[in-house]
Amino acid sequence: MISIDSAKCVGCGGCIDLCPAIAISMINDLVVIDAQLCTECSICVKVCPMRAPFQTDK
Amino acid sequence: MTKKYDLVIVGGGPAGLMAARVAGENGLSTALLERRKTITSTKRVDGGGLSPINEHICGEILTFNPKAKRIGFPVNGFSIRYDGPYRDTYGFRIFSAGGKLISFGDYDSLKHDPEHNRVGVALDKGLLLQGLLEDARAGGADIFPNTNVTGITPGENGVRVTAQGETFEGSLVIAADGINSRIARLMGMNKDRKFIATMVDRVWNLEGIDLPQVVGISFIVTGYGNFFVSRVARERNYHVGSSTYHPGEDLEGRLKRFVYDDPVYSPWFKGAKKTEEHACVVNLLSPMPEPFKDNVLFVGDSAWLMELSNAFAILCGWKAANAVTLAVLDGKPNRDGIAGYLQWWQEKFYGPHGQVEFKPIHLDDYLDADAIDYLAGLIKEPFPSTMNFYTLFGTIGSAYGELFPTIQEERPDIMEKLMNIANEMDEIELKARKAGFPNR
Repeated sequence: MISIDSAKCVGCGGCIDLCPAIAISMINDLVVIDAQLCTECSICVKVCPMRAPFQTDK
Repeated sequence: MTKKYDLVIVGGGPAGLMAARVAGENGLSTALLERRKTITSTKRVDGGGLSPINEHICGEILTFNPKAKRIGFPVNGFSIRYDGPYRDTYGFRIFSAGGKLISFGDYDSLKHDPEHNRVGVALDKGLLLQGLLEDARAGGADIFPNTNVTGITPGENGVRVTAQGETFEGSLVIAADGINSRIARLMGMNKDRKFIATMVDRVWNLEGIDLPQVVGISFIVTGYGNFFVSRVARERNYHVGSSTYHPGEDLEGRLKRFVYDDPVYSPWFKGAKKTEEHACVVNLLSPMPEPFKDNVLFVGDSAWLMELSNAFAILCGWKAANAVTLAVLDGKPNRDGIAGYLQWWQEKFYGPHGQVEFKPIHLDDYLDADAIDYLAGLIKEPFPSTMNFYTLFGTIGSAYGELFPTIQEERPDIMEKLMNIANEMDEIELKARKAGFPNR
């Protein structure tokens, strides 16, 4: 599973734009990954300038 | 439940908000959907300004009148309000590793007459958006913040846009959802676009310093990275950033080295306080020659290579909403109805600038500090003042083109490195493409 470290995320939305599964949204100005839709391709992890997304249980 | 509108706009940046205002004022039923809850907050890196002004570009020449608190678009014949702080900017500057300066504009003489000599203005983007948002609401548009669009389906009678279980149907849709447009991807618009690179930026806002040597946007080319330092609207505040075409590179480490340890540049930032961080990701795809498909019109950055700048996004929004109004009034909510916009886009944007080849290269990957200093030192006199990126690239390109014989004679070793860059350009482009994420 991939989660977002909200202390690091500045909310630029880069991961939302590039997520191929359309699994990431902005809810109440916070970036949120929908675990049901996420395919764990990890593009968000690779692209984030703030290094906010991270793999949680591997 | 489906909400029906003449026009559904996706994206509440400058292009979308301006389109919402104009469509609303013109009497169209208009919805604007934006994923941010606080539309006026800007966490993403932004140019923060208005540039170039007082110079013809893309069929317009922007004006700024701080007394009337208005930004004018005199060729197209409209203006918008801006009520907030501003700082004049006088042009680009390029600094080399060792402190050599290439200047666009002779600031010491220009600064005495800001009204005539400024070529840009740094603004507070949040306040710019606030003015646009209030005017869009006053115009009668329905604004839906906190609304993430996840699907789009063109149909016989209109285009259906889905967002978190709700459906919005428009006779026409304006996709103003920015540089990495989700609508463009969902509609298959990126398939024929050339993918160049994924550019990643990180920016710090530094407070409590005065940098008289930074009079607009300055680029600093060191041996270990490219940086930019720009004036922002608030006094004693600057943005300092770094970007890469290879996502995953340690931009924070690079910024720390530049701000705290660089022998030439860290004194600029002595005593500064880091107050904000911004970031952004820009997928570089060649611009759309025809930004329209199945009653969806791609407006502003969603159809372009990278950010058009606030003012030109606003101009696109204004033009698009007027075109959509005519299409609806004429009973032609289709390509025929908005053909005027497509022709304008072709003539003013795509034709003049859309096919400029963008090379994803940072010189510090190929030249060391000594070579960068030598090259910067060859330019003795300031170039004409500008904050037009196309003029910047054109001016630099032709100046160094003329200097090649000098470089060959004085520093054949550096000339050889430059020739190697030219010869390896295909590999450089391939490397950047492979490091990126095409968003198709």
